[in-house]
Amino acid sequence: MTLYSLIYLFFFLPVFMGVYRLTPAKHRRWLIAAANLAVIASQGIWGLAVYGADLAAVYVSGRVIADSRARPDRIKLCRILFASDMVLQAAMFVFFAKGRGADLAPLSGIAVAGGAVIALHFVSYLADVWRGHEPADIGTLTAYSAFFPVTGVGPVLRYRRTVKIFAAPKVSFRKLGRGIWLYVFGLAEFLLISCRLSDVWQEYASLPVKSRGGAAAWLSLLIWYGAFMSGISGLLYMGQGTAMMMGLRVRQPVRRRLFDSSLRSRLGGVCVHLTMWIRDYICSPIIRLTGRKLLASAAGTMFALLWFSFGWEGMAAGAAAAAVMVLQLKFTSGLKEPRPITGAVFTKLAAASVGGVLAALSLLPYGMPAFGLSLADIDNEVFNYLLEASWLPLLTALFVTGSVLPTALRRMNTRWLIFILPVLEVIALVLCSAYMLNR
Amino acid sequence: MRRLIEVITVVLFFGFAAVGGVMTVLGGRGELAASAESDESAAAFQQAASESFPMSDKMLVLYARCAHLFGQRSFGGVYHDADGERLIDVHSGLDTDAAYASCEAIGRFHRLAPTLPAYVMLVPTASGIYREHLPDTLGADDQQKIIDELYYAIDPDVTPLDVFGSLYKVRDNYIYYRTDDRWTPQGAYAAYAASIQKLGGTLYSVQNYDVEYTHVEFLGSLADRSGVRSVPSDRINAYRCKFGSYVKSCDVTHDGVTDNRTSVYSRSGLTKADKYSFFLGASDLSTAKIVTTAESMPKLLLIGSDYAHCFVPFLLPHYSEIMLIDPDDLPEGKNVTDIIDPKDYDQVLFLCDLESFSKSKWEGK
Repeated sequence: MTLYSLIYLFFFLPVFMGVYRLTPAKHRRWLIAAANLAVIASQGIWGLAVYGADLAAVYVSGRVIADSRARPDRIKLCRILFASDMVLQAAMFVFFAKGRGADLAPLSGIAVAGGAVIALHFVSYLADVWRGHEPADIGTLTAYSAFFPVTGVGPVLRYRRTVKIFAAPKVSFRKLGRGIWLYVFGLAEFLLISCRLSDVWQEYASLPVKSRGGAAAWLSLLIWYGAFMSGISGLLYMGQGTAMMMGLRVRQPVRRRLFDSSLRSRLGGVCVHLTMWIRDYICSPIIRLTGRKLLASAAGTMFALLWFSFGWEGMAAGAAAAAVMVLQLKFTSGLKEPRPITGAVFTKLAAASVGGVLAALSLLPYGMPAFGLSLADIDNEVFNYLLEASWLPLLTALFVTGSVLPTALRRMNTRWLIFILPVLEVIALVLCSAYMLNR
Repeated sequence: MRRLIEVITVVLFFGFAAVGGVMTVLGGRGELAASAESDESAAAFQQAASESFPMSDKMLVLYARCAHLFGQRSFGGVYHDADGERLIDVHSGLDTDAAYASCEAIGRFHRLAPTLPAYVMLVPTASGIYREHLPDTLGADDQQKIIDELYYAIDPDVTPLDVFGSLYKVRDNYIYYRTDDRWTPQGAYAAYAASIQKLGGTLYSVQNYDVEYTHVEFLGSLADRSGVRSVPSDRINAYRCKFGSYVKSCDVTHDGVTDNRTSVYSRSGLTKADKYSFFLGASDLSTAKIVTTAESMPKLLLIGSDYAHCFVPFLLPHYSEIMLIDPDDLPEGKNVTDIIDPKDYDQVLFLCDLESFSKSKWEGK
């Protein structure tokens, strides 16, 4: 059961929210925990067994670490437990994330059981308990670690930031309304834009290599990028929306800024929660241990790219992105605001170029024709077909998933928008239902 | 005001979801319950819910319209050729093993009556004739090449009747239905014109036929499958030869029941959902025995798919009896030789469209 399935929208969500609303606030975390287990079980009973074992190990370790803070004689045991649990979570992450990286189709790579998100949640829990935060009871830990709206690509929640809201989440019409709109928006973005672009990409990828002319290859990379970004954005908004409906305020998962010239900021804005998680649990420890900010940034960038594409392609893309970002940071670090025009031009060009190179590297077998053949080779059937099949979803992706429409709305007076939201909501729901039925 | 909008948003959302869920359950209780007991219950439940969803056919049309706007042209394996104003059932990845098994079945049947002149006509579907209209990304099969290879594989004593070239020449005519996956009488006539002389008959040109336009417009199976409605609807026509013989009797067996008629055309077929039933009264008949007034003419055993139904009217002037058998629709455990004795006939013609030929269960029939 996924967030964009018929079963979820028409059966699970209304029943769950009805029971949730009737449940007293202090007990809601148990209901969330039960729903999490049901979602994991629907993917397969073995997944439930694996999760249960991991949960038990982390819960026990967290308790031992918290209880041993005042006992120096147990520090060694705590370190062993902490290290072994971290290795276990790393293994879980690699095991589940590998399924994503091995598949080049963006949608099937994203739609996994969520094991990688669970691993990051457990890492966050253990690290925060190690740093002195109170450990959670089993209900809260279950509710937090496998929180079903986010077990896709996120938003990845940090334990210390979210544990309080799991204690007694309160539902209000305001949060429900906002959550519904976020969910419906994400669903429409995912189904109408990302799925369509993904289908076009799949058709292109099924062609023999000799049919993929240079111009078609470049266009296909753009299509892949559009499908990927819209898919990520759609799933994140669906997760945020569902969480909001349950009274759990989750930060904006995607940051869209049209004129953002910083590569670090651009990459970080793709998945804000993941960026925060990387900053807290990868970059901060590296800086604390080594004092090297650039090393921390590079490691964080590498991890982020591996998250989206686990495998040697992700590593290559991560290394390239890290190199460009380090150069950008070095080049602009000593400059005072406003930056010289040359600096701004360089960063924007570098960011745009790296985007294309990263995409091509990640999709090496499919991207190579883009480098080998001339851009003049435009007038061919494959290119024309791809263009006709994808121009409108790509344009929509640019305005919606890209930064054009959000930027414009931020700068305009958008109070009138609230009046047409219910109409847009119904239209989007009907369209999305049609897509869910027939895809 | 904001609060009111929020309340409306919440009510609309949960109302829509709840009504959709309740109506799905009410509309498909049996299927949903059965799916819950199956091995892959989640996927089966999803499938059952999709089929039981209220107004699912209208949702399909809405999906097709919206997806069309977003540049989609292929819907569930059906390609919308906007230039040609037709829907094409795209065939790719033909099961060659099954096709060669059918070739072997033809050879075995021929060996039962080796002196009986045997012919085979493999008819390309619209996907083969209009392959150049289909984007490369759909990977449509080269049906001309496949038909040639299958003809080589069939027993050399069975005469192949090549109709691909003849159909291709008249591809701009109305030879395939625009919203259905079968050929029209015009397409059948083109195949008849290309093959009748090899069968030993003399061609009756199209001027020798009265064409009846039934004025019944319909949208066929491809429109139902894809949800596309922006294609002109199809019409059913009847071709009757002015000369030669007339039909004395037409006994059609369908679902174990035999219907006795005096025409190969059935008006009641126009009231059915599948308008192709106009030809011989049923599109999934198991046998049809047509007796004509031309008593001196030979008898034909015609074994084939539903493409043969549309072809029969053009054979009437040339045969005293035509026995049409569709092996795929025979009752379980029945073979062709359980129904007829090949020695009672003067010719046997195997007529099948390529797609059905690769999916047929002729082996053992």
